[in-house]
Amino acid sequence: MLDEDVRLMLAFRDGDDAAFDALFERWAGKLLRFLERMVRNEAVAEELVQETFLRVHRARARYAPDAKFSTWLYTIASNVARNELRRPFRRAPHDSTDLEREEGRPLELAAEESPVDEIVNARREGAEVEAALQLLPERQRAALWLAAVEGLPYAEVAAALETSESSVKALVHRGRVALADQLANARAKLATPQKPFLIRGGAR
Amino acid sequence: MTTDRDAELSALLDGALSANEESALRDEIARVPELAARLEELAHVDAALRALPARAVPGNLRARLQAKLDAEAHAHSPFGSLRTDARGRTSPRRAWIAGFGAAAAAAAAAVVVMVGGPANDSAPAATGDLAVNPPSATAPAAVDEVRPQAVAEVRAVPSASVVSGDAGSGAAADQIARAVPAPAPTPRGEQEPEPGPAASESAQPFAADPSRVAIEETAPAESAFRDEELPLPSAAALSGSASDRLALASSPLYVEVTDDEADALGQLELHDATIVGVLDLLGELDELEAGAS
Repeated sequence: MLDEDVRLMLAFRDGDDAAFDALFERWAGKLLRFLERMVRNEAVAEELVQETFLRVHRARARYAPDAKFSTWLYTIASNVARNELRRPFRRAPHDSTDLEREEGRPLELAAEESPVDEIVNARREGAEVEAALQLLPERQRAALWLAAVEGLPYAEVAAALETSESSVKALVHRGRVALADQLANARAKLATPQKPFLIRGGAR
Repeated sequence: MTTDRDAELSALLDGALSANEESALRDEIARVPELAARLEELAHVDAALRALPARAVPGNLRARLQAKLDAEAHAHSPFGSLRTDARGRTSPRRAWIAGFGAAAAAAAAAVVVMVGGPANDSAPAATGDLAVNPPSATAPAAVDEVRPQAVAEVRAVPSASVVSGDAGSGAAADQIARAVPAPAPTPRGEQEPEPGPAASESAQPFAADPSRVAIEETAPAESAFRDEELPLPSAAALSGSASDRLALASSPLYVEVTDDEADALGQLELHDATIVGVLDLLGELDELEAGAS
C-alpha cells in the first residue's frame, strides 16, 4: 500500500499534472510554516516554498520512492533554507547569528535589546515562543520543529537534515531544553515587579 | 536536572525510547516529582510550538509557482510557448506577446536577408511574404557563401494537421490571428500564396528539386506544460503567406530543406533564441506591471 504522497508523486512523474497540484495543496502550508521559522521572513519563506516545489517539479523524472515523500520534501526544503541562510546578503530581517553560534552552547543574550525583554513584554505566549525559537541555532530549530511539531521520527529528521539519528536526538533535546529555559526565564521576569518609568519634562 | 535526564525526557516526548526504556523512565517519573515537573516543562514547549498561529498559504502562491514553472520551461524551449487556461483561452497579454513574437521573428528573418546580400528592390512587401534574396555575386566574401542561398530557399510547408485543421491548432491560429495584424488571410485550401517575383524565384527550384527532405522542428521535452502547449511561430513559419503563417504557427513546423539549408537552420535557431529573449523581457515587464497594480 503506497503512501498517498508517494502515489501522487508517482502519478505526477508519469504525467498527471493534477497530482502536482494535489501535492502542493497538501504540503504548501506545512512547508510555509517550517520555512518561516527557518528564515524569519514571510516573503522569503514564500519564495522558498516555491523553490522547493520547483525542485520537486524538476526532479519528477528521477523520482523513486526510496523514502517517505515527506522526508524527501523536507530534505529539499532544508537545503533551500540553508542556502538562503548562507547567502552573502540575506534579506532582512534575517538574524545573522545562526552560523556563528556553536551547537549546544548556551544562548547568550545581549544586555541591551534583549530578545528576552521582547518576550517579557509580549502578552501572548505565542509571541514568547516565537521569539525564543528564533534564538535557537538553525539546525536545532529545524530538528525541533520537524520532530516536535511535524512529528517526524528521528530517522526521518536525520535524513532531511543529512545527519545522524544520534545528532538529531541531541539537536532536538538541546533545542527543547533551551526553549523551556527561555520561557521559564521570561515567566520569571514577568513575575518580577517592574520599576515605573520616569519621564523627564513631564507635567509640572 | 542533569543533561542526561533532560535528554531522556526529550526522547520520551518524541517516542524515541524503546519500550523497556520508556517503562523504566515512566516509573521513575512517577516516583520523582522534579522529574515529572521537568517533563511537564518540556512538554509545554512542544504544545506551545504546535499552538503557534499558522499563516494561511497566500492564494496566489500556486499561480506564482506556475509562472516560474512557465518561465523555466520557456527558457528551455527555443520556440517559447503559449499557455492556455482550462477553457482554452489565452490571456490578452499573452496573445499580444505572441503577436510580438511573430513580429520579432519576421524582423529576425529580415536581418538574415540584409546580411545575406544587397536588398532586392523587386521583393514584395505587400503580400506578407518575407523578402528573400537570391545569392549575389556582390555579396561580401566574409559572409558564408552557402548560408544566404540556403536561408533564401527555406520555405514553410503546411503540415497535414494544418490542412485538416485539428482543434488545438485551430484555436492557436485564432489566437495568433487576433494578435497579428496581418493581411487578409487566403482560404485554408489555398496553401501556396500568390508568389511575388522574389518568392517565385525561391519557390520554383524548391518545388522541383526531388532531393529535398522534410524535417520536423520539435521543441525540447522540457517544455511540457500542465496545460495545452502551443508553439510560437519561428522565423521559418513566416516565410509563407499570411494564412500559412497563421496555420503553421499552430502546428508542428515542417520545413523542407536541402543539406545546405539544414546548416542554415542553425541560424534560424539563433533567431528563435532572440524571440525567446524578447518574450522573457516582456514577461518581466508583465510581472512588473502586475506588481505595480
